[in-house]
This record gives sequence, structure tokens and C-alpha cells, in this order.
Amino acid sequence: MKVQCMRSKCSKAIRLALALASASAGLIGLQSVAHAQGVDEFGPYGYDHETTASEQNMAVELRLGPYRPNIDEEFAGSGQTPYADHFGNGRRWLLGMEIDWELLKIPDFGTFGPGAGIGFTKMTGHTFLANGEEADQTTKLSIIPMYVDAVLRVDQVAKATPVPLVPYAKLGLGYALWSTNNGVGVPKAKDGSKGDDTSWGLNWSLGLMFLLDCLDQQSANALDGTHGVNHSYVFLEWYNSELNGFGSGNQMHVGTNTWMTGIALEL
Amino acid sequence: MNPMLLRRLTLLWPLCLKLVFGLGVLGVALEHEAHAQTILPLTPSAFSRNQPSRRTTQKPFWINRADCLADDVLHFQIKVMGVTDYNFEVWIGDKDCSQKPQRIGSLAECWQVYKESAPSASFTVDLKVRDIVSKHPATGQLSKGTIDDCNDNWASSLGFYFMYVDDTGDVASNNVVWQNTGVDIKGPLPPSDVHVGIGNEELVAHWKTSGSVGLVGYNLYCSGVLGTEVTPSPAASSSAFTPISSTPTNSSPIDGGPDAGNLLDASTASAASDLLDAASPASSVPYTRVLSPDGGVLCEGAIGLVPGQLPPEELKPCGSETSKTATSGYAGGLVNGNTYAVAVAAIDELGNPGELSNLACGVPEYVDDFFPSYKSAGGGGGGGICSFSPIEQTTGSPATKLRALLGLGLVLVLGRLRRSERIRQ
Repeated sequence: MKVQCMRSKCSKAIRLALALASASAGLIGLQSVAHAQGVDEFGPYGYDHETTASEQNMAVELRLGPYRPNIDEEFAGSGQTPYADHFGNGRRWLLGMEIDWELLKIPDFGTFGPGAGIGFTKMTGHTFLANGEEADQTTKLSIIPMYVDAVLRVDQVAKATPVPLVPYAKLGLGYALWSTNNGVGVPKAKDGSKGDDTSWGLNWSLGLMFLLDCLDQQSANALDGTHGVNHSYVFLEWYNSELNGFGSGNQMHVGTNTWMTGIALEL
Repeated sequence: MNPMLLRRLTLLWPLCLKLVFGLGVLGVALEHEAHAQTILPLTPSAFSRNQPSRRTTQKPFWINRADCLADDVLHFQIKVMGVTDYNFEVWIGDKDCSQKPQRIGSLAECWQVYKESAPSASFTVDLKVRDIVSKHPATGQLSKGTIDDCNDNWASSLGFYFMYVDDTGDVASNNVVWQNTGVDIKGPLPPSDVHVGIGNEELVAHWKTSGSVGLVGYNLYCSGVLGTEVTPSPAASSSAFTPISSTPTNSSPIDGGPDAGNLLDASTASAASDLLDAASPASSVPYTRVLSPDGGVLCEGAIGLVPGQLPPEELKPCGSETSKTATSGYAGGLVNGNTYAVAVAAIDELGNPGELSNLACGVPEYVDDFFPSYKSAGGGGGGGICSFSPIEQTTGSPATKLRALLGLGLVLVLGRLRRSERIRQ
């Protein structure tokens, strides 16, 4: 890795993120990659990361971001806002993960391959009596968004320049399981339809990853030596899931447009 | 060594040998006499029961109140080496029941649950659960093993002693002790300050936990109240009490008083209820009446839920919470407009419900829930996760074509890029 960073620029927070990345790698049970070199209590030895880095095939992301489903956009123009009426405009959070297979290594450019992700979010809202007062019963909406996509990561910038940033783009199909609950079970509407279903549509995102290796190259090398983690990143992306059945009109728009952040590891 | 002594020892040697051999034969004979039969150790696979087995987290070998009420029978597969004429007996207790004084005499604390004369080498011992719970360890009283014993609140681990016993009460074999089964027919303490709020075809109960040891969750019990609203006059309502065998037709919510809001204050109401109960005519049918703070009757009638008593066996819970830290839960399956009483019982790990809490009454009514509201607004989603649309409705639609196009495009792009990489390599 040619990227050089001034160690003095490394904040404690970012070092902590690197440590977290290391811990995450350990948690997911990654196997050590065999090397001629070794690692002892003082760190890696006899190790030249330029030539002996472990093989890189995939990326794993742990993701977190606010999530407000675009349900009310289905009623745009009518003035009706059932989601906002019951769940308000407060911020809910989505926790998720993604695994990408870096199928193609494009020389002097980056990587490209398929990926798949899954997340979970749940929100609790209010119900109302006939006189408009808030009832004691609550209403819940759970969404499990999933997607398969094509992921393009342009890592040449980080490799060839001192700028430790990796821009990326994802495009694919999104699919979500969603379910409502009134405390006792899944409620039914007056027409008898049950309050759970699936939605799907287009899914895309644009983001930027910050390469953490440059903050402590020795630790990054050790992480590769011990756990096979080639690179670790923190990322920020704009996530857009248009789960509207491609305009079919018979699906709840449980997708959203939001930012996501998290940790990514290339393995 | 002295030659004389050596000579004498040589002469005595055969005698010593005969003596040792004789003692050995005698010992074997005595041993054979003490254990003419040997009961083989019991393993969990030797155990079965009539009632469905519980999960491993629910002590599947133990006896809970439901087992007792269902008159459950425990079965043990026994294997014996050396059949004898002695009685095969099973004694139970938390003391060493192989000791005669624990079985016979005024100080005996073990009790017998099985006795069979001269069974075969392999047989099944059937132990009635009600016989096992027939003796309360705390009081030492032994009853007849009836359903009444199921209501004795006690919990204890027990030892089951399987052994042959002779006519004098002495153990005539080895004894095998089974210690995997105990009795727990005592539920946790009930929650307090139960009150209910309104929901659509449901009531939302809130409570304060008792923090009882062993508590793992709660059951909610509902009862449609056989009664009608009465003019809120204490004198009139106390004299007018007559259980009515029809549900009220009034679908309007009952006013819980100006301060009650949606939550009907059951603690206040219960206190007033006690006063009314004292003045009401004697009845063999348990009933409850709950008043609103202004004296109006919220609900009354023969409802089968009695605070402080165990829930009726035949009454299925109308809701449950599986968290021991829960302080609220939903009572479902109700009809809007009818008055219901709700009581809450804490549940222990064996599934024993404890005594019922105070009663809280409420009237479920239609509320504007998210999903019905979404559908009313014209939303197109919903219908069930496993639902599907007929093929003719989707085939050839723009959405379908776009999906197919995207999938095909993705495959082509990936294939092309992969090929390029191979060529380059």
C-alpha cells in the first residue's frame, strides 16, 4: 500500500474504529491466512505487505443509518399521511450487514462484483380513538429490507494517491418483508387484507469509504497477517431503495432515501 | 528366623489357607443373601409420562400444577437382576428413604407411592402424580391423592427410592434413587395495580410486577362480564345486583370518570367493589363488580375470575407476555362494545400460573390503527407475506419486463467483465 498518512493526523477515535474493525474480523470467525512470515507478541515480523498481502475476494459491511420509510409518498397529492399520523416524523434506525464478492479486479481501477445485504428496523406508533384521542393500543411496523446488487469500488485513488478514499456505487434489486402488529397479532383492514406483505424495487447507493489502514499501517498489516483482513474502512453512503414494485401500485413503499454509515472490511 | 517357629508355620499353613477360603465363601454367601436382586440404575431414557413433554428449559421431568390437574402418570422402566419374592416399593421424600426410620414410625417423612409383589425382571412402574403430591412436605400431612392436592402451593425437589423391601420393612436389595423429578405446583406472586386501556378488539393491561422468584412471564385472563351498566347510584346498584345472562348491547365506551381517561382505575374500583360485595345478596356463583370513581357500575356479573385465587383450569389465557420484566400486555380476541374483566397471573418456568391479580374492566372499541388506516387511504400493499398474485396479472406488465431486463443486464455485464479479466490474465 503506497498510501502514506501522517501518524500525527490519526485521531484516537479513528484508531478506535480500526480496533473495532479488528474485533469484528475476529467475531466473524475469519481464519488466519497462511504466510511465510509470522506474528508474535510484538506484532508481525518478516512481513512486506506489498508482496505478501493475503488474497482479497470479498467485502463485509456492518451498516447503521436512520430509516424513515417512504410510505406516505404513495398518497402524494391526496394530503393523506397514514405513516406520519401514526408513527410521526421521528428518526428510526436500521441495522444491517452486506457481503460483497469482489469477483473482478479491474487493474488500475478497482473491483466489481455482486453483493447482498439485509437489515432490520422496527417502529412503534400510536392509534387513535374515534374521538381523536390517543388510544392505549400501540401499532408496530417491522421492515426487513434486503437487496442483491452489483458493487463497483474504485480503490485506485487510495492506492495511487495520498488520498485514502474509495468511492463506490451499488445498483441492484431491493426486496423487503414488512409486517404490522397491533399487540395481539397482525391486524386486518376492513377489506380483510392482512397487514404484512413484501415490497420490491430498485436499490442503489453512492458512497465514500475512508481507508483506515493509513492511520496505522503496522496494525493493518498485522490484521491481514492474523485475520486475513486486507483493508478496513469506515464509510458514508447515500442509500436509495425505491421499493414500490417498479410503480406497480400494489405495494407499500417501505423503501427509503437516507444516509448510511458503518465499517467495511475487505477480506 | 527360629527353625522351630518356621516348622510350626509350615504345619499351620494349610489350616490358614482353609480358614481364609472358608471366610471368603461365607462372605460371598452373605453378600448373595443381602443382594439376591439388583435394580439397574435409572437413566432419563427410562422415564416417560402421559402428559406431553415440556421443553428442556421448563424442567420436563418435574411435576407442575397442570400435570396434577390432568392426573398425569409417570412411567419408569425398571430392570432387575435376580427376581425375588420381596415387594418392590417406591418411596418418595427429601430425606434418605432407604433408612427404615424414614419410612416406618412416627418420625418417618417419606411416603410410599408404589408397591408390587414379585414383578418380573423387566417391568414398568406407573406413578400417579396425585399420589406424589399427596403429601405436603411442610405440613407432613398425607392426603388421598385427589385433585384437591393440586391446589396445595408447594415446591420441592424429591428423591424417588426404588427398592425391594422385606416383610419387616428392611431394604432387601440395592436402592436406586431418581432425583431428576420434583414438584412445583406453586405459581409466582401476582402483579399489582392492574389497569386496562382501550384497543381495537383488545384491551391493553398494565401492571406492577411482584418481582417474585421464578417468574418468567405473565398470562392474561379475560371474562366477558354478564351484566349491564347501572345508574351510578351506590344504593341503587347494591340492591339491584342480579347476574344477567346476556352481554350488553350498548357499544359506547364506558366512562371511567373525568380523571380516568382511557385507563380504568381498577384499584379504586376494586375497593368500591369490596364494599358492594359485602352488601350484595349471598350467591354461590363467584362474581365481581367494579365501580367507576363516581359510583357507576363499570362491570358486574358471574365472571369466574376471582382475585387472589388461581385461574380456573378451563379458562384459556386471552393474552400472554413471555418477558419477566414486562409491565404491560395485550388481551385479545375480544368483541368491541362488550365489557370485559381482565386479570393477570404471573407464570413460572414450569408454566404454573400464580394467583390472579385484581380485576380491571374495560370496553374494547374500534381504534384507528396504522394498517387499516393505510388501506382506507387507498394504500395498495398488504395481504400477507405468503400471498401471491395470479400469473396473468403480472405477466407482461411493465414492472415484470423491467425486472427481467435488469436481471438479464446484470448477468451479461458480469459475464463480460469476467471474460475480459481472463483474457487480460
